[in-house]
Amino acid sequence: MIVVAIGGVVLVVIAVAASLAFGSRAVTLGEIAEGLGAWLRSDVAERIGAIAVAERIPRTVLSIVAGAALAVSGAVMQAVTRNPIADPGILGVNTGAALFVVCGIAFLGATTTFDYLGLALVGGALAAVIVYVVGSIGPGGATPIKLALAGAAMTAALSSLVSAVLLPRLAAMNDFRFWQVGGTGGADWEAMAVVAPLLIVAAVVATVCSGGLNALGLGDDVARALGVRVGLTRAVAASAGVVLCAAVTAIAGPIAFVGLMIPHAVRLVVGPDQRAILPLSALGGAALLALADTLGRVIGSPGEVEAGIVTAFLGAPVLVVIARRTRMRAL
Amino acid sequence: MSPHRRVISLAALTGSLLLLASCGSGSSVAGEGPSANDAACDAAAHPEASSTFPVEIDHALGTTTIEQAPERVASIGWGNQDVALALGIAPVGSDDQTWSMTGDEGLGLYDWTLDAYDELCAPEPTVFETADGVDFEAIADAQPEVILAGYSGLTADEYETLSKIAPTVAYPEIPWYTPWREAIEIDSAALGLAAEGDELVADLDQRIAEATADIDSFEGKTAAFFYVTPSDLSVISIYATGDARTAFLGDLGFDFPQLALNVSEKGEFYTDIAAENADIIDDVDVMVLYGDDQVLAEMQDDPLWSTVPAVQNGAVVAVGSGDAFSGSVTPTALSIPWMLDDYVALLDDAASHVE
Repeated sequence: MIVVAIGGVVLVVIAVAASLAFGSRAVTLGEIAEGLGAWLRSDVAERIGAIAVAERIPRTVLSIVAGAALAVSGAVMQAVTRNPIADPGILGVNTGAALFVVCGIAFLGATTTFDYLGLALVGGALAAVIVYVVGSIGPGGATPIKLALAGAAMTAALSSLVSAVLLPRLAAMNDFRFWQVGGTGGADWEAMAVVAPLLIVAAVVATVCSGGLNALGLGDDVARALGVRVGLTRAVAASAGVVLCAAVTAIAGPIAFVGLMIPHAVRLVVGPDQRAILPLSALGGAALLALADTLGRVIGSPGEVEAGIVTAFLGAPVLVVIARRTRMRAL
Repeated sequence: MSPHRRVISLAALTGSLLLLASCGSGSSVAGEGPSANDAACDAAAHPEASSTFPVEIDHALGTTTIEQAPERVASIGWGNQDVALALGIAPVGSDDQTWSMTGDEGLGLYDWTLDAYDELCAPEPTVFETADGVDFEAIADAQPEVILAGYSGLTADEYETLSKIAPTVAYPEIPWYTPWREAIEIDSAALGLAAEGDELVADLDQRIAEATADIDSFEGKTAAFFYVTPSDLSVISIYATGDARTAFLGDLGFDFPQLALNVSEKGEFYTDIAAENADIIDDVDVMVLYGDDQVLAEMQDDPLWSTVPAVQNGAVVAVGSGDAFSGSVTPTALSIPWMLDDYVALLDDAASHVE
């Protein structure tokens, strides 16, 4: 466990270094030093290479934070729904956020990261609440299977609404498509400062819940016998997962596969203890997204390939390998 | 099949028939004939076709033969209706020009097009919805005798279906890549008005020459059309020289920057570069882009964008987005006269900032 944790930290450090040093522009060591130095002095560098390096700092921070948050969110969702391939999207968070962003662009003239942030947060949270309420109706309360079904139905309904609002408004479509791909290019300290407290609170709540989530993994009846308040634990943990995902989605767009793949992979390595899965997922997610973003910048040069596309590229084959080579660890 | 199930499937069938029948109703239907009480309108008549029919037109998707002078014209794609209108023929139906509209006030046609209908005393056309592709049903309902699509992005399949409705004239070579002169040329030929089309081109060229006659700020400077997303300034999107928007800047007397030329050579209509490589566009003197007045300020605040000389100098024209003016800069036979003076003034102002 400690070895794995150290490995995770090393991986994150490598990812950060790579993200600063490599990008769509090849920069020299001198420019890297100049860029970092200028940034530390809150100065603007002279050479464009150095400016580019300085500009990689906020997006590296964003990819680290977003990757960690998405992976933790995924881990929580997988535990709450007892579905090993669940991800934050399973409660309709992504599509709920997307619908609100679209309506904001189409009807309210939203254009800035800041606008998207508020809209995505409200939309994602609202969708999750509705899914949770619908999934809780009937005997047994919010069982994993009912949550998954309600989430899938909600996602289908919301995506049609997104299309309905978007299709006749091609100008809005142009704004939306940049957000919708999912990437860290729009990294902006102000927006990050707004979501940071949300992310910290949600991460703490998720960590506190991890013991309860372990009990839920044994089945609702056993958990109840152990004295865990099943419904409450599930609701609180799910809220933390939703906030983590929605806040990240707001500033980086919907980034797929990190929340799905990382906790799954971590569970294969360290077993089913949520107290280990959550922090290790954070490390893994941070490293993955930072590396994906760097890779996307390098292979796309002189343009860029958005991190959301690279994670999907990396994620799909990894998931196939995992699914084929090992029996899925049941939750 | 139980009687119960039979009722359900009958209901489902009826439902889907109703749905089919109502599909076309999303489009507004044109009135019949010009408004009779307008005396000036009696004079309006179809122009005499200069070409002898049948005319044969080669285009990217085949060869189209038009047997006789078409009375009922449908226009799809961008700006083809303006060609017909400029030649005195009011299409009975036209694609909505949503491409750069916000959709707030309903979608349809721009002022310069509607003004031309007024001047010809023609009833407003049926507007075909483009949201989910080619509106075949509405187009068929309009009973056209020719379908103009000289500036469009028709696929071979769509072309084939349209050709069953009426002879269809597609783009000359590349989808969505028809310079306005060629759009006029191919559309006017399909109407049997090739000679009039040439006159129209000459007339517009004359207007452009007049509008820029007193302007000496464009000479020897480069200009290009860009797409900028204020919420993500990490990407710089530039249109190729063959794109109608950029090509028009050339018509006004600008040269093109190297990147726009390179993109065209590769046969693409636009490309993205990372803002980290912003020095690639150091040779752009004047930038034209969608957006409002704030865009320039946001670009100047961005460390990477602000290294671009055009941004430093404020040699940037923001044409708005989703409004008529931003639509008009993708030139058509009628939008050119509509926007020319304003556009030239904006560009002249920007060019005067170049150091």
